[in-house]
Amino acid sequence: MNDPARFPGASAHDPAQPLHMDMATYMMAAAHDMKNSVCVMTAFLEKALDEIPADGASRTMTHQALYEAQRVNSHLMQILALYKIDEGLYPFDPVEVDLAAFAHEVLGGARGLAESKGVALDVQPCGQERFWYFDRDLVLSIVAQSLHNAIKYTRDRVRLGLRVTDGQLEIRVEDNGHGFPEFMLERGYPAQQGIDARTGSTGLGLYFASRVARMHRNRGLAGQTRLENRGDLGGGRFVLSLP
Amino acid sequence: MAVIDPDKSDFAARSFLLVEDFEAMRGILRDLLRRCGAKRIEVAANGQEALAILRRGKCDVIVCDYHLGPGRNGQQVLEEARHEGLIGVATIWIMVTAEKTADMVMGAVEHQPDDYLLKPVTEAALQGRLERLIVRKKSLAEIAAAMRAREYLRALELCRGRLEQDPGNPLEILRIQSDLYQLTGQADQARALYDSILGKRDVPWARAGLARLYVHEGKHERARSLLEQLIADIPGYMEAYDTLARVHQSRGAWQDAERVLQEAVRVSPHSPQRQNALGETALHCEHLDVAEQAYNKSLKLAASTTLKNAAPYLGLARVQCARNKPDEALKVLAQMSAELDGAEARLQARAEEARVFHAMGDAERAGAAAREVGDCIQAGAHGLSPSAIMDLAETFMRLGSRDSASQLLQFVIRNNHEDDALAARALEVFEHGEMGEEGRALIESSRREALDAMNQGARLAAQGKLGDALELMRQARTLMPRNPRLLLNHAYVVIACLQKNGWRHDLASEARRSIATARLIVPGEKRCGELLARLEALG
Repeated sequence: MNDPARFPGASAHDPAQPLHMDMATYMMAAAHDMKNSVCVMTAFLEKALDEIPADGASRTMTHQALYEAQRVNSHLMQILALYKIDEGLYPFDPVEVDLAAFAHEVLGGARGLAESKGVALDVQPCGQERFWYFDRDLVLSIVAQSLHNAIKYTRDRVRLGLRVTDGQLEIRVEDNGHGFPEFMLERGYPAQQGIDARTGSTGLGLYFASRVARMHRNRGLAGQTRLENRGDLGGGRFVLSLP
Repeated sequence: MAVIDPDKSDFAARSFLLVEDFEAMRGILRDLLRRCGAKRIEVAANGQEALAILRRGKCDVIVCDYHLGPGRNGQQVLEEARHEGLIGVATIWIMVTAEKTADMVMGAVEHQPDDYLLKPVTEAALQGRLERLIVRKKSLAEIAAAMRAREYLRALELCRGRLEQDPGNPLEILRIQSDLYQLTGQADQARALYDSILGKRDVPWARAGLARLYVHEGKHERARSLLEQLIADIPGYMEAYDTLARVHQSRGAWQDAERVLQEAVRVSPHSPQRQNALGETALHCEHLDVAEQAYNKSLKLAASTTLKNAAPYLGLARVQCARNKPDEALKVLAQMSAELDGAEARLQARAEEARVFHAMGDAERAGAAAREVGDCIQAGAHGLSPSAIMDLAETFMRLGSRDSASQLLQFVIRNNHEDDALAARALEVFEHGEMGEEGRALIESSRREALDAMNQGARLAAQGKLGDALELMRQARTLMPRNPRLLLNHAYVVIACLQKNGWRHDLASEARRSIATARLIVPGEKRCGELLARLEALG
């Protein structure tokens, strides 16, 4: 409990202290280091994209590479965050977030990929409510990944919707693809599943989303996630609700 | 894939400073800023370069990497720039970081950057955040300027105006408003505001603010349960740990305080002040290893920053003394005198030396050091805490210098005439010198002396003899320069004079000085705020 340097990414190691490195610590340190590398890769790829002409043949490949780098980055971010959450070290920080700015930021991160795949991306803004209270970085990571997935599996449309119902903010990501397979709609997914052999999906994204949702509590209510099919656009829909 | 922005001129007119140690990243971030519309961009590869650029002239927007290689990190650069006054109320500081840490997002508000961006930084994020910050800073600049000038009533007025228009971020204004209510001693308004916010949502800062109110009112049990709940919900909310530890200390539960601070430094290990608090608490519990480790960390964290102070050195000297290693303690104190500037630090080190020499059985050197410090204390110019002066008196007593001990004890009591714990401790010291009876009488007369001055001053003021009251308060202040109640009464009389005879700048400054000193001694005292507000209303 009182070991000060369990997580080397969180604090500079004090050379006067003996190292208490176990496997988890090595893995987290490595994840942290990998994340730094991926950030540099992402930055270079974005710069490259800016310099490749719009009709350049390598443009699609560069987009793909950027997308994969972003995926690796968001997985690493989620693993690191989950580890810190379990250790009680994550600086969970619900703040007042401007919803329009939030939508703008999250869409900005997905627009390039959507364009390269010919997917139309639109946003259904929140009516009355201008602000909501949540941990911006955690929720941003969930919604960004959900948008990336939707763009991957949709036919040609993806929508980000924000609305307040029953005192909860609902962030909805929906598409017009084939929807989620039945097993994913089962209650308790992904916690009851191992790594899925059919899709190779680890379920990390959904697990992360449901953990983070439940950390958001207000006046006795806790956040939730759910998956639905046959949404407004006819395909799958991911819903994150925050009290 | 540039995000279309109809109006980039706002960026073009502003000066940017980019601080990033990694050259390739520096180029990328600079390109990003350019794509957002920035024209004037200076770059720095480390904290030293950044501060040099800021000293040459102010920048409007600073984008700073948190990890800057060896030397200062981004947070230290920010604190130093603030400390040197290189950042105006409208300046925007964005921290870029690979990872969110508790220090960065939930440290003391006055040390926080305006925003932080997680890597990889995207154009949409950078531009969106900057645009919003520019608007927010503009709308808050007037309030921030008023607060910086300590015109709290005017700042409150501005908050009310903002809330009526509501162009910006309402909860943020409410937060400033609640702080202002506490600063100006309007506890009831602050409470009403917290209650109304908490009626709708469990907002962490409102819970922490309410707990602070309970602490000031001495409702420690309520503060404690509120803070414990807050920490359970939001384990990274550092202010809650600090306040909770103080609550435990004030009810004498030092072990509980130590436990809370241990948990706090685990979550957020980079605050030298918090490490000091842990050191002091552990020392009190006689957990010498914990104390030593905390003080050493504090020293390392504060080195080459503006937060360097005497506490960790004095603490380490105590630890070594408690281990019967007086030579080590003297080494620490010599190091302290060499590394800290100012007469105050030298005096503090010297006072501690007196204790160490005495512990070594060197009565001669102990006596010399103690006399030197004692003279300075009686002359009024010092920064020693009451408990440090008590320690010195104890040393005198053990050396057999009863008179010197007695004078110091009377000085402490005069300046803290309402503090029963200090009076009890003073009596103990008198008893160690086998002058219990005499001591009891001296303590009583010192308390009486302070009370008499207060009562007489109040009587004269009530009779309208403001000039006489002021003269009396000034005399009493030279005798009790650290008595908060007296200082506030002095300020009260000065303000009454101003009210009656009209504004005088020198008198206003005199009152302000008394209030400022009192606030250092009793930070939560609501009369400080009330008097400041009255002064402001007059000026």
